Amino acid sequence: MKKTVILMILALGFILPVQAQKYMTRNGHIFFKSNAEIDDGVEANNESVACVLDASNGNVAFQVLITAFQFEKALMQEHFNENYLESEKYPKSTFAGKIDNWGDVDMSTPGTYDVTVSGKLTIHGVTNSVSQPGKLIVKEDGTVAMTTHMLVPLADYDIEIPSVVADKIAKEIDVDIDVTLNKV
Amino acid sequence: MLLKRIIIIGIIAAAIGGAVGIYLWNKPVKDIQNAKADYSLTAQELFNAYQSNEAMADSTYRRAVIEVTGSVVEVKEEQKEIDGEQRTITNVVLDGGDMMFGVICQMADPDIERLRSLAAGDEVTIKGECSGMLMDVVLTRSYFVK
Repeated sequence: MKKTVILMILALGFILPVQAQKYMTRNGHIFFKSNAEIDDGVEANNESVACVLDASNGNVAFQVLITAFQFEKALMQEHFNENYLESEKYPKSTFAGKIDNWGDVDMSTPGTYDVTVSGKLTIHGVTNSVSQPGKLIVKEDGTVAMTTHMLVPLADYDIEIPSVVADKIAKEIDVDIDVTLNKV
Repeated sequence: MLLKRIIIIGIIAAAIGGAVGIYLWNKPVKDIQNAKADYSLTAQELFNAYQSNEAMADSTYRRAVIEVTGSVVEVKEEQKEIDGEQRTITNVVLDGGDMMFGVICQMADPDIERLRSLAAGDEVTIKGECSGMLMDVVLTRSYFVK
């Protein structure tokens, strides 16, 4: 699948001039934390999330490198890559979908818009339909920020935590997504 | 007597096992700054390797420590709030020979002065851990080499 989704959206931007407006970042941010009763060992940051928004229709796509999630503890980083997410087999996580209430968003008026984003989320090779509320902020400088907080149930993506550490890692992971897009 | 000895040995073994376990659990991630690079190449070579065959490039470079030399395209500094804390994230983009994309190095180097003094066109050598490629090749935990 490579960069297919993102390149397709970008390619459309070059083929259809004038009205097509693309916003993009390669430095988007995802932070997740397992809120089980444990010290702060189970949280990670990813600061190289790629995101594209097509402002002509509200289509949005994300791509995330699993190995770019940074943990403080070596063991967690290894387990995360080698056992839980099996990043050698599934190096990326992707989302392709759209902002359902795109008609409510006025890209020429700075402000915060409550949006719902729906689409297909693929983690660990498993795809599920998701629908999630979030905020879209049109800024004075022309950039667009999108933020959301979601719970990801590990079982929905066939992510198995061995029973030895099962009490240390919650069954649903708290995920914060925060991207700031520039017009392409 | 034998039983007592076995129990004592068992307790000692468990204590050692526990200590090793705690050590491993708390061991911080690999120190990239002082690690020897697994590979040393130019930004263009790295980008081309991924561009031509991503799976093969991944099997070689992903999670390896890479020393990459290239020309700075841009330096991007952003303030982000992460888990209630304010943090500064600096990315240095190196020219991979492509019009739009290159090699992004997420800097962990504490030398803020040097980061801020970088200008487009400067040649730098940066060492980091390779994460793979989305639109750019991404290196995390990156440090200046020279």
